[in-house]
Amino acid sequence: MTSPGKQRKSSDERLRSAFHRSIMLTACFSACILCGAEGALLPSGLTPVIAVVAWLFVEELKVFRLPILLANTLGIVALVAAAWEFVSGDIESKLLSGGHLIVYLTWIVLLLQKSMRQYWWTVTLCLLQLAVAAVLTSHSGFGSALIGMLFMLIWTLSLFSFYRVLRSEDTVEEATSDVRGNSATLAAGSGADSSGAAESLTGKPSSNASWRSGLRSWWSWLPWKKKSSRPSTAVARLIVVTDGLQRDTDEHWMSLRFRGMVFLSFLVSLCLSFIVFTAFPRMWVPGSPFTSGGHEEGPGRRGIFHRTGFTESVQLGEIGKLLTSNGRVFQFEIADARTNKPVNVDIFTAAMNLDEIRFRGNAMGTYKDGKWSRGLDERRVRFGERESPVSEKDMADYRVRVIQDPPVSQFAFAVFPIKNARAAPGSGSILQREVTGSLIWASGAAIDQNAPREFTFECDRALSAVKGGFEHWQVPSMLGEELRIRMLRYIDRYATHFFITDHLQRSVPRLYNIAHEICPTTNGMPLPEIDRVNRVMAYLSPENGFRYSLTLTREDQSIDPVEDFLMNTKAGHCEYFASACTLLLQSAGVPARLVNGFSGSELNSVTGRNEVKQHHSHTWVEAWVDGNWLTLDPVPASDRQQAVSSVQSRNLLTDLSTAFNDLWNGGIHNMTLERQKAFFNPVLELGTSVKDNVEKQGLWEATKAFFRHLFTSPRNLFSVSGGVVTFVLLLFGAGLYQLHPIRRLLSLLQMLRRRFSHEAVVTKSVIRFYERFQQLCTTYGITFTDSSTALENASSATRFLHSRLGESELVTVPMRIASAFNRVRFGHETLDEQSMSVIARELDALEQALRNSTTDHS
Amino acid sequence: MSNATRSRIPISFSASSVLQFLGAIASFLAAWVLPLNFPEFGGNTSTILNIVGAAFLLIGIVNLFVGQRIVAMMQRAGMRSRVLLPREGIVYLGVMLMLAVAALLGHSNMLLLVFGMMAGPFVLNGWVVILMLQKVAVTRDAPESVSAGAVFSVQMTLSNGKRLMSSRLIEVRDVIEGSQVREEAEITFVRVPPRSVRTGSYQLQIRKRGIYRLGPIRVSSRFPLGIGERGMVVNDRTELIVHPAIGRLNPRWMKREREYAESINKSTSRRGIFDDEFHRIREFRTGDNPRSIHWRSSARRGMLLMREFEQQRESDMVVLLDLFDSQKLSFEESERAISLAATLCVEQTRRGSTGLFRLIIAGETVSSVQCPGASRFREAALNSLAITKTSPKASLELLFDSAEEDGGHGSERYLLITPRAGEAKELLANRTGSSSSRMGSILSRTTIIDAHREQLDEVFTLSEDDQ
Repeated sequence: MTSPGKQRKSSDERLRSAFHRSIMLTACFSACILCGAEGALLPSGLTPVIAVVAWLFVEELKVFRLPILLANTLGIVALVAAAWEFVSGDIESKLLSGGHLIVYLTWIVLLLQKSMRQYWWTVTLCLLQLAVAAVLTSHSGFGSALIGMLFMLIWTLSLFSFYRVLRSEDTVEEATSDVRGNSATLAAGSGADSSGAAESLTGKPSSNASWRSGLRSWWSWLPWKKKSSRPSTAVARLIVVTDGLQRDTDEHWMSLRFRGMVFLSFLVSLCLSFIVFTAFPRMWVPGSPFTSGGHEEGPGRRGIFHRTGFTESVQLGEIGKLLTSNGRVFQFEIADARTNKPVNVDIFTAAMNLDEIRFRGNAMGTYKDGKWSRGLDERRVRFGERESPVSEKDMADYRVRVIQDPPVSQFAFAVFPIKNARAAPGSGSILQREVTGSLIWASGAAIDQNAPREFTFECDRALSAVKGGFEHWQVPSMLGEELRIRMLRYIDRYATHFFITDHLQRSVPRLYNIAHEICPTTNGMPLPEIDRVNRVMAYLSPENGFRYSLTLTREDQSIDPVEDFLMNTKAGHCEYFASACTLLLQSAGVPARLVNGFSGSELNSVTGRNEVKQHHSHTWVEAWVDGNWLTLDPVPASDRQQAVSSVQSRNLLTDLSTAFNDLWNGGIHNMTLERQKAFFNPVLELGTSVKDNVEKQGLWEATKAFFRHLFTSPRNLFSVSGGVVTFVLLLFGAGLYQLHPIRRLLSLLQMLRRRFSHEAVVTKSVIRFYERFQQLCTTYGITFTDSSTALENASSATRFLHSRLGESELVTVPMRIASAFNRVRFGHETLDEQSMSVIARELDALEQALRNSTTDHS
Repeated sequence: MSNATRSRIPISFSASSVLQFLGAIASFLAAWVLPLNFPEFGGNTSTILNIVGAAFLLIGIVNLFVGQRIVAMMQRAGMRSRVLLPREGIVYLGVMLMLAVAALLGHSNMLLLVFGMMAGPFVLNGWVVILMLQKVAVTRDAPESVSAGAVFSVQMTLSNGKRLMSSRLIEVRDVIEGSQVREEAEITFVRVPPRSVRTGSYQLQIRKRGIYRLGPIRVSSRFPLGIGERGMVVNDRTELIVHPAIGRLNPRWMKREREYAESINKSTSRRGIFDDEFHRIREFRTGDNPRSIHWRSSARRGMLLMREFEQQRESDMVVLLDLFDSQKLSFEESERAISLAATLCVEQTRRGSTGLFRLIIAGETVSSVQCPGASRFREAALNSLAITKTSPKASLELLFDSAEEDGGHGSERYLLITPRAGEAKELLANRTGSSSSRMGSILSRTTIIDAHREQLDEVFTLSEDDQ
C-alpha cells in the first residue's frame, strides 16, 4: 500500500507530465490546422516534429534547452526572414509572412526552458496561428478543428492553473528559509534612521506600478527575455514571507471530478462561443482595404465565379473534368405554386413532359478548333420586375427554388420552359438572354461573391405541351396569317444565321461529308428537318459502334477532335456526342446548338432537398424544328446512367456531411446582418408587438391578453414567444430569489408551513402528554435541566415518586411516559387513540396520588 | 518613499479600465459603421455614439491612473468585490480584440469564429470565478506579539458554505504592513469541498521591531482557466507587535555582573523570615523550622507541608536605555542597544518572579516601565522597546531624574546602555556629589555599557550573528 506522501508525489508527477504533453499537443494541433489552411507542408508542418522533440528533450529528459542568447538571435533571424517574405512576395506571401513569423517564434519558445511566461506565450502563439488559419480557409473542416481546439484550450488552461500552483508549492518546499523575489529589503549600513523604520528599496510591482516599471515588466515578459533574478548582496531582508499551500492529502490533481468538470466547461464554452458568434453584429466596415476585391474572372463580370465548363465558351472535353466529381453545384426544392406543398421530382418531370429533370445553362451555336462559343451578342431581358401580385389565372403550376453554391456560375440553371424567374433578396437579379434563352445572374457590387445565391423559377405544364421541346420564340396569335408566316420565315432565317456555323465544309470537311451522306438531298431538295434530325440521331446510336466513355483517347491528332470521335474512336462522353450531333445537324442545314447544364439529381435524406452535383453535368442538343427548339440527347442513356451511378457514393454519412456543409456555409461562413436579423426577428417582433399592445390596451390588460393567448394553445406555448417568456420568467424568478428579503420570506413561509403542517400538529398534540408530565413534576418540586434527556428526567421522577408513594404501581409511570415520548419524538411513531387514553389515565392517577400524598403529609 | 519611485505615475490595468477602453472602441466603431449599415441611424446617432465613446475613454484613462485609489475608497465604503484581469487575461483579451477588429475590417466570419471560440471560455471563466467565491468566509489566527527574527506561522481558515460546489484554487493574500514597508503573504487552498472548512498557514519572519498591521485579507480565484480573477476583500485587520530581538548574554559578562551584584549591600525591609524568595512547598522533614510550616496547605492536604525559600543573592536591577541619536551611532548599533535592553529585561524576569523590575528609556521623552510581576513586566517592557525610537532630544539628566523619582530601596543596580558613556559617567559623578540626589553612591552601583558595536558584542550575542 502506498503512503499518502508517495501518492501525492505521483499525482504531482502525473500533472507535470500531462501538462507538458498538453502544451505539446496544443502546439501540434494548431500547427496542423494552419498547415491544412495554408495548403503547404512547410513551415507549419514542421512544428509537430519540433514540439515532440522539445517535449522529449526539454521537458521530460531535460537534456537540452535553447540558450537565451541563441533564442534571441533566432528571434531576430525569424523576424528578418518574415520581413524578407513580406517585401519580396505577392499579396498572399505578405499575408503568410505574418503567419510564418508566428510559426518560427513558436519553435523558439518550444525549445526554451520554460517558466510560466513561456508556457503562456506558447498558448498565445497557438491562438494566433488559428487566427492566421481563419484568414486562409473557409472550409467546414476548420469549424470541426476549432471545436477540437476549444477542448484542447480548456484542458490545457485548466491544467495550467494547477501547474502554476504546483510550481509555487515546489518553490515553497525548496526555500522555506529562502526569500521571495518580492520581499522587502532593509538597507544595511544606510546609516541611522531616526524614524526607526527601514527603508524599502524594492517593492512589489503591483503596489508600486509605474509607466517605467510597467514597461520594464512587459519587456521582461517577452518569451525569450531572461528574467533578471540578480539578488542584491548589499541588502538584508526585512520581512521574509513563505507562502502557504493547503492541500488535502488524498486530493488528486486530475481526479475524475476534475475531468468531468473540464468536459462540462467545454460544453458550456461551446454554447457560449456559439451565442457570441451568432449575436456579434455583422456591421462590416465598408470600403476596408483589407477586404478582397473579388476573385474576378471572365470578361468584366464582377463578383461572379466561373465553373469549369460553364463559361461563355467551352473547350471540348472540359465537361469531362466535372463528370467524376461528387461536389455539389446547387440544391433545389419543388413546390406546387398554388398550394405551396412540396412536389416530388418524378411527378414534376412527368408533368413537364421530361424524361429526366434537366437544368439548362448556356447554349452555344458556333464551333471552331475544338471550342464552342455563343458567337453572338444578345440583348438581355430582366425577369422578376413585375411588382403587382400575380393573379390566380397567371399563376404557374410549379415553383422551383434553387440555391446555387459558391463559387456561383454566371448561369442560373433552370428547367425549361420557364414562365418566370426571380432572384431572392440579397442575391441580385436574374436576366434572360433573348436569343439563347439562357438565364444569367446580373452582377452587383454589393453581392457577396462567396455566398450562395438563391432564385425561384416557375414552370407551367401548358408551356411544355410539345414533347421534348419548347417554343421559345412565340409568334403572337393575334397576327394575321400572312404576317405570321412572314414572321416565322424571319425567325427561321434568324436561327439559321445564329445557329449554323460558317464554313463547316472547310473546317470539318470529313464531318460535313458524313452529314451529307446521312442526309442526302433528293432531287436537290433536302429531306424534311425532322427526318434529318432522326437520321443524325440514328447515326450516333450504339448500333453504329458509338459508346459512352469517360476515358478519352485520340487516334488521329491531325484532325478535329469531333471528326476523330466520329471516324476513329467512336467513344466519348456527352460533350463529344452533343458536339458531333450539333455539327452534323448544322452541316445538314438544321439550326442546332449545344446546350450545357445538369441532368438528374439526388435526394439528401438529411436535409430533404434535392441536390445536383458536378457529375450530373451534361451536354445536349437543341435543334430548330418546325418553329420549336427540340431537345435532343444523342448520348446512350443507359451508358450515361451507369457512369453517373459509378461516381455517386450516397450514404447517410455523405448526406450528413452535406447537411453540415450547408449549415456551415449558411450559418457560419456566410453569416450576414440580414441572416442575423432573420434569426432574431421573432424575438424583435415579439417585443414590438408587446410594446404596441401595452400602448393600446394598457399594461394589465395587455399582460392578461398575452398570457391568455400563450396558454390557450400548446402551439403558442412551444413557440418562440413561449420560449422567450419562459426564459424571462425564470430570470425574473432567479433574480427575486437572490434578493435577501425574498429568501427570508421563503424561509419564514417554510417555517410556518412546518409549524402548521398536519404532521407537525399531530406530533405536537401527541407529545403534549409529556409537557403535562413535566408540569406535574415541576409542581411537586422536581426540576429538570435543559440538557437532561427524557429517560434521565423519568429516572429522577421515579426516585422522587418512590420516596413519596412507596411501592405503588404509579412509580413506573414516568418511565413509560419517557419511552412513549422517545418513540414519538425521535422514532416518528404516531400513538393510537388507545395508547393516548391509557397515558392520560395514568397521568390523572399520578396527579391524584401525589395530591393525596401531599394532603397526608400536611 | 524612495527617490526611485517618487517620480513615477502609478497605473493599474483593472478589468473595469480594460472594459471601458473596449467600450470606447466599440462606440467609435459603431458611430462609424452603424449609419453605413442602417440608414435609419443617421442624424445625431454618430454624434451621440462619439460622445459616449469619448466618455468611456475619459473614464478609462482616469481609472488607469487613479483606479487603485478609487478601489481603496470603495473598499472603505464597503464595496469589497472586484474583478481583475491578470496579465494572461489582458493578453487573451488583446488577442480577442484584435480578432474582432480584423473580422469587422476584413468582413471575415472565420475570424469572428475564432473570436467566438476564445470568447466562450473567457465568459465561462468570469462566471466560474464569481461562483468560486460565493459563500466563502475567511478568518485569521495570528499571535499578538513575536520577537524580531523569529519565524512564526499565521493561520487562515477558509470555509465554503456552498451546498454543492467546491471552491478551488482560492488564493488568500494577507497584507503585512509596517511603517514604510508593505509585504503580502499568500496561501493557496487547492480545494475546499462544499460545506467544509480548511486551514492553511504561511510563515513569517520579521526582522525589525515595531508595530505591524496584518490585513486586510484579499480572497481571490482565477479558477479554472486563469484568464480572469475575482477578488473579495475581507476587512479583517489586526496588530502584531514585533519585540526587539532577544540575544544571549555573554557568560563571562554575566558572571562578572553577578559577582558585582552580590557585592552590593542591600538595606531592604524584611519580607520573609529569611529575606529569601519563596521557592516551593514541600513535605515536612525532621529538623525543619516549625515556623516555616504552611498551615493552610497542611490543613487541606492532611499532612504537614513546609514553605521552602531560596536565597536571593542578587540585588534588583534597573535597566536604563539612552536612545540618543548620535551621529557616531549607526542604525544597526542603536537597534542592537535596544535588543540588549530587551535581553536584559527578559533575563531578569527569567531569574526571579518577585522583586523590582524597572526599565527606563530616554528617547523623545523619558518613559518608565515598572510592574510588580515578572511576566507582566516582561510584556510591558518588550512592548515599550518595540515602539521606542532614537531621538536627538534624549536627555540623560531626565533619565536619571526618572530613576530617582521612581524610588527604590537604595541598593538597586543600574545598568545604563548609552552611546555617550563618558558624558554619562561624568554626569553620574556630579550627581553623586550633589546632596540633592537620593541615589546615593549611584556611580558605584551603575554599570555603563557603551552602545557601540564592539562593547555591545562583549555583552551579548544576537542569533543572527551566529548565522
